[in-house]
Amino acid sequence: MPGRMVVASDLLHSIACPSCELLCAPPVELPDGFDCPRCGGIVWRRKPNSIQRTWALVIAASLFYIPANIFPVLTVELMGKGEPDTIISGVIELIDSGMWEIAALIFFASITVPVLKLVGLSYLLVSVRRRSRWKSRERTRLYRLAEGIGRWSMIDMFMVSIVCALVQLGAVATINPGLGAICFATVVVITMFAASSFDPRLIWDAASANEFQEDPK
Amino acid sequence: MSEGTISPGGSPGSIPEGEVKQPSRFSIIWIIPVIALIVAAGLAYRTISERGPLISITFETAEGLEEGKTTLQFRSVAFGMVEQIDFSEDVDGVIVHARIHPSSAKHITEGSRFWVVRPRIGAGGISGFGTLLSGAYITVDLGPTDAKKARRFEGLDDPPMIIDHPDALRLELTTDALGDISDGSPVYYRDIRVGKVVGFDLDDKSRGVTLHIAIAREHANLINANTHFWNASGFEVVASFSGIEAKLDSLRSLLSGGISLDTHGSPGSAAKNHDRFPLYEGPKHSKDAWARSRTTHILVEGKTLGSIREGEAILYSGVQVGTVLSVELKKDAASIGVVLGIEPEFAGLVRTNSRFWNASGISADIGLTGIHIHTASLAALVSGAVAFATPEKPGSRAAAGSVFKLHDEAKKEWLGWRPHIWLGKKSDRPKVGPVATTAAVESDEEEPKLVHHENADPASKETSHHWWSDVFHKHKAKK
Repeated sequence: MPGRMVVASDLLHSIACPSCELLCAPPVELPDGFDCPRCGGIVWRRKPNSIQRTWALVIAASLFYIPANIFPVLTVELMGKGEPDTIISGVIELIDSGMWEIAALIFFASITVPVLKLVGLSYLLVSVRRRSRWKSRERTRLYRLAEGIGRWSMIDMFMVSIVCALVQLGAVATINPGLGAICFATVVVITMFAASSFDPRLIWDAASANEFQEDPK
Repeated sequence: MSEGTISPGGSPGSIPEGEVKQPSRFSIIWIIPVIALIVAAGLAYRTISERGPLISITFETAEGLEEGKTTLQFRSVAFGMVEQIDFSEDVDGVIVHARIHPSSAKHITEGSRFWVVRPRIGAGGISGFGTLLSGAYITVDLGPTDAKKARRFEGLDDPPMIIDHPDALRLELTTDALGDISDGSPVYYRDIRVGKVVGFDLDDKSRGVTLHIAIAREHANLINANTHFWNASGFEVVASFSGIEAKLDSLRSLLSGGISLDTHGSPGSAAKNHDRFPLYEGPKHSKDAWARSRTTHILVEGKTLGSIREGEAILYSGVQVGTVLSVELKKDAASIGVVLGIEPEFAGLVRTNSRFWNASGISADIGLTGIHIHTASLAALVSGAVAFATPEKPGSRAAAGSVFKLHDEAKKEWLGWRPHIWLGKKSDRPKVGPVATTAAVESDEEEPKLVHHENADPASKETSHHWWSDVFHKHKAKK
């Protein structure tokens, strides 16, 4: 610890550019964000308005998640017979017809992942706001999980779009997307932005506040 | 100054200084949740505003009905969806809660009748075949438009037999059995479709079937009191001594079953709604019934029947002037009675002193000169017939319902009788001519009188009264 103090004293307030990894010192007047002198990418000490922005996106995603579950995602018509299916009714139908694996996959991608992301991000936002120092490592891992698996929700949308494009056999079999699919795609996109707008360094700001006394504010 | 803060003891300039970036305090990002809110609220509003009223229909069973899938249809257009199915309070039925589209809500009035369309195989054939693939649906016979709206209904377990056609002329046809006729079978007039069967049920005493038919308003003038209806399903083979006649009404009606109608003779009074008509088995039955209704009924009594059968010819000088309507055994079982129907144009031939004999079969006289074979006509040889002759001095016209004796064979002099009797209209009769009738006003509708003529069997006078009236009334009923 003392060694680090000595070596890093000039580097302590420097920030690595997220694009080219150049370690730069922020200007004194406005130390939050600046252009990287080497690659021109934006360098932030902390992502600006991270908490506010993430909240906004989490709320927007939550709002879209309601119609995504209420409205049908796709309508399968076989021989003129067919009815619209919402996400959950589709899962139940798959279970009824014995396709447990696909049902589990859809349930994971369409229910588990978005809910995990929305709840997880909300929890991180609340805990950061409360400057919690409890299990920062685990919370960081939760963040990485939320950011990493978010894209897999799109598997549903790929499935819907491929199936709808392929199964257009007129009266025999037709599959059409529903309003729920659009809402769900919006949820996935917005939660991906929400996850990327959250700055995990905020978790550690609280944790290291006592240790290093380095709070920029 | 800036370097002082970050590199107190190191090499200044080794860490390049970043450039100033103006951070934005106001976050435009809040537009996204606002848009999300607007979209969600818009969707919610649309969904709620598209929700119509909820109606509940009670059924005995919910077979084939599924929550959220079964539709309500009218003229094959969906106007609602089953939302929920519950047991009724006393668990002896189900209550189907259905959401009606708001645009259709005003049509669901008191008196609307709901039933479930599902595949049915019944007397009238297979119905609801389409629902095998599409699943059952609920359909409705709408109540009157001016009735007040209702939201609770008793569903019918079977499709209603009669669907109202307010414009059509509604008639009831009585028949013994339904046969090939089913709901929706066409009604033809000279092979033109003028109506259809809209329902059928057992009559009050379950003795027969009442068919309900609807005749299109523009064809209603075809129906009058003298209109005959007959079953046009399939084909008819009529075998008679004049040949075998096979008649196919139409291939269409052979496949689907149908009813034909026609008016024999002069039209009667115009038919009203719910008038009842008999349904005849075929065109011949219809014609026969009509012919029978206008013939003059004469009764003959004899000891033996020979080969006289119902429908056999009545011959006068070898010409058919009528048919045998029925053959009865008299109550005392000692003799037989035959009811003859004489065509109206020949009714004048039957006089009070006419002689009737059994002309069926062959009678052979075997004598010294050889064998003489007598037969009234070839037709009579094959089948059988009643023949009669009127003396050269005809008596007065025999009234309908007169009773004559049926002789076993003709006396020789009867065969020689050739009186002149004018059969045409009175006004057309030549001035110079044979002695004409003293009698009677031409009338087909003459009330039957029980007249015993001098040549009738006196012994039967007392008993024949009852017997005749029985037979006669039976024929009246058949009309």
